[in-house]
Amino acid sequence: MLVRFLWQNWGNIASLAGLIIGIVVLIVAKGAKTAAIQAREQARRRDLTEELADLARKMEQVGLFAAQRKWDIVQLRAEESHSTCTGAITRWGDQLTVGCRNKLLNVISFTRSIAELTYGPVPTEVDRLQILSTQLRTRELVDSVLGECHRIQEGTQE
Amino acid sequence: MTEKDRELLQVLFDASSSGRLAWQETAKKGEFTTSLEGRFNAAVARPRGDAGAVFELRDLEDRLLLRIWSSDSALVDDLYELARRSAFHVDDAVEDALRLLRGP
Repeated sequence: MLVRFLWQNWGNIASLAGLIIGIVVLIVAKGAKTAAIQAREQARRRDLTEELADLARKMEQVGLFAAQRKWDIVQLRAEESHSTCTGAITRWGDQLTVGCRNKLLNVISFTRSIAELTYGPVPTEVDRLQILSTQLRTRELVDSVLGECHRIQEGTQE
Repeated sequence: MTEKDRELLQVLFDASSSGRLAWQETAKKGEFTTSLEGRFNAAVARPRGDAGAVFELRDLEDRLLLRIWSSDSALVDDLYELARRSAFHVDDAVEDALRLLRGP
């Protein structure tokens, strides 16, 4: 009886099976697409995190060389930090909160001001102290944005 | 200087005087900066050896969009003073000083 039913309705059964397989494939494909988008976002954020970590290292060197009055290296590192930060905010700005963008905008101002101080005559002792204090505040800002990136990264991985 | 430029200075002045906008000093003495809604950087400064103040607006790529001197608008001088007070937390310091002087 079952064989006769299958024999008489094989077309309908095949259609139903096809429909079910189609739905399953659609669900799997949608899941794969979401996973791919998430992976891409994570990779982009990882790039940003690496860029910010590099920025933090450069700013550390600004402090180190300012303490030793090696102004040519301070200028170089401050300029590098400035361009790294400008690149990061234009490239990944859409992924950052307004608060993070505000902090990076301050970093841009601070690094520019440090570099500009080294363009003219040899910085005075007052300038050196200003540079060291600004470098510390810049590091704090970068670390804060970096921390937020890590938190978001960990959140998306869970 | 356009009407819109003047309006921008006025809005910045109002936001700074109400404490909604916090300014910070940069590495250059007498230069103060603040960021606007994660889109722009504003700065006021009194360049060395110059009596006047200058206001600058920059975009995300740090391109200079606008520069206004205090000779063009007195608001630049007023904004500079507010930025300095905000960066050095002058109001808090005055309050502390008053409390100390008035005693317990």
